[in-house]
Amino acid sequence: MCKDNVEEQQAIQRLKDGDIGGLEFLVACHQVKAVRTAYLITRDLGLAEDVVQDSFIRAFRAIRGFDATRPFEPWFMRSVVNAAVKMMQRSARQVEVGEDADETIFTELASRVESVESQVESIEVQNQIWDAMQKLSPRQRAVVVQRYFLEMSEKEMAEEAGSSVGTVKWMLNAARKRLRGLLERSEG
Amino acid sequence: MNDKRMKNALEAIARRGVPENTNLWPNISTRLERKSLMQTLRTRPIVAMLIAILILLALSGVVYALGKVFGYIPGVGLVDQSAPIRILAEPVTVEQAGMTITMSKVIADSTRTFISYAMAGMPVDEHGFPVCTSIPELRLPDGSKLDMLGDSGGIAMGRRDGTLSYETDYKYAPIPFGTDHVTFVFPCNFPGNDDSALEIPLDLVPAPPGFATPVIELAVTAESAQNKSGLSLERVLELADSYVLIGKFTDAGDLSAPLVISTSSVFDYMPSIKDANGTPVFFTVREDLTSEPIWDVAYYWAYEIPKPVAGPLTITVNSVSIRKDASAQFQFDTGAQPRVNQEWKFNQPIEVGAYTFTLDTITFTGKGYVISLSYEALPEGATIWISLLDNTAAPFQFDSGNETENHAGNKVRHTITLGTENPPPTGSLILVLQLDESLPIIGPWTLTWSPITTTP
Repeated sequence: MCKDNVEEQQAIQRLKDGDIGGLEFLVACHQVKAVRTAYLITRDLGLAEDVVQDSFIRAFRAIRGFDATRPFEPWFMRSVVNAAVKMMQRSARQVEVGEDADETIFTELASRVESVESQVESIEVQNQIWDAMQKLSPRQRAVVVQRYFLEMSEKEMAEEAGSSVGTVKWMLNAARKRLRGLLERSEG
Repeated sequence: MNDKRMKNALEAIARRGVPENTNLWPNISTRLERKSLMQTLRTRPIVAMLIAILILLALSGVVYALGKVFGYIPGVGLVDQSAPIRILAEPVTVEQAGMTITMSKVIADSTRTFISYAMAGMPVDEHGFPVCTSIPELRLPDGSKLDMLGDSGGIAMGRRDGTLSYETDYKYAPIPFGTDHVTFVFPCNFPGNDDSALEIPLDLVPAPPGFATPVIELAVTAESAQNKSGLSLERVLELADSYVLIGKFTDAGDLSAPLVISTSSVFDYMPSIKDANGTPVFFTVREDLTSEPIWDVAYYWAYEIPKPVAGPLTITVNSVSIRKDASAQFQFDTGAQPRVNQEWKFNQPIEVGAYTFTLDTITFTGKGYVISLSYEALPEGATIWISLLDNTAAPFQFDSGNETENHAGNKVRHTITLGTENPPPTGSLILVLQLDESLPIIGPWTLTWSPITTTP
């Protein structure tokens, strides 16, 4: 039912009209992907669920201003990502990473992706990626999640690039360049 | 190709961490309903008084509950011992299709069925996903399924051979008395298992005497503030070597703003406990005896305190957080046809709550706007949300809104880049600043409890 855009538009319209059943439909459709997105950034299921609950409440408050003809998911996921990053930035648990450390970490992350290429995506490699992501700041983690998990296009990423995101974009490009080199070597 | 594989790895990690059966709706709907209730209570004290009277009438049921016979099993919680508890007749290990499933615990009482098991060797598909992500079913002999009531999330570990191992537990509806044979089913088509589900028969027997730690429920004798926000005691359990005090911290509507409540409130608002001599008392948070929070109303706590106790004990929460929000708007006009990279310099102070934000610039990018603000660093727990609306009943929605915050000393330069595939709105626009703030407030909130000496 969640793939039906018409039904989603109807749910949004119902919610705009004050029918909370419209929100129930949106929660049912988007909660799992939203919690998984937040989880990849917060690394804590409880925090991720809190973030997504808050985001749905925020969407509930803001829905009157939402254009029902547009897809809900990108708008909502952006809210989830930003809220997850903000929650982690407020939390003392975040790992502080200086700019100098970025390249090293992304190189490490890229090497994990190389492992993904060569080791048929074993669970162990997933754990290595998970560990490597822990070394990223929440904002950097969010960029990885946006690019690879939410599959935002490069164009979308570029449109969203501000000054610090430009650094992250550079890091993503560096990771891709390294991957490309690895692939070329293996093909050669 | 690489991107797809990275996505697959992240998908697999997320699937391991977040179950498919995630259901946030009960909490979200409760929060929305509670919010309107709390708004009523804050504005209509007579309604609040009537509700307080109804609660007092309902509390008479507490005395009735004292007659129940409970046991306590760490990690499981309280079990009803008024009827025989049933457990696994013997540990069950099944090896099938390359997997090893060890049923480590089945505990069935009149309130629920607790099952814990370990899985080793779960195959993963070519994308790294476990081949079975469905919730296991608990079936009665007539084939009917018991409702799943909850799960702990569990712990998963990857193995070098590319399989997945994990340990987890589930709670199901109670197994009817007289039924001592159930089947635990993984409803998936496993390769190497004739593409059929994996079924594990489980035989139950009465638990031996002393299986659960004896618990005596004591009468609730505590002094706490009546009808005000703060700590209240709901249950007192006496175990052989300890007491467990179970209660809640309620937002009665008399705080200056709603209490911030989350699933971790029991840890966020850790109290101090002192005995009659003023000596700090060691205690342990017992998560297996707490309930889910009632959003915007109360969070629950359970503290286990070792004997002996030099009562009365004073439990003190010194500080909690409240949630405040405020907003402000600033209207400006871009003209009908702004140029790409046209920048408006404002240097405009905007008051939001107790804070001043300075709107520095707004730049038209052709595909949206870049808005720059500067302000003194906000305290921990304060968050500013920035949006740009056109002057219509159905405001324009930007496709992207990336934010960056650059800190220099105590100064913050905050930039948001709003982008769109469509022609961005122009003309009269409204910048909206929404401030969400989690503010600590100082109590203290106290609860005094004196133990009653009994022999468990």
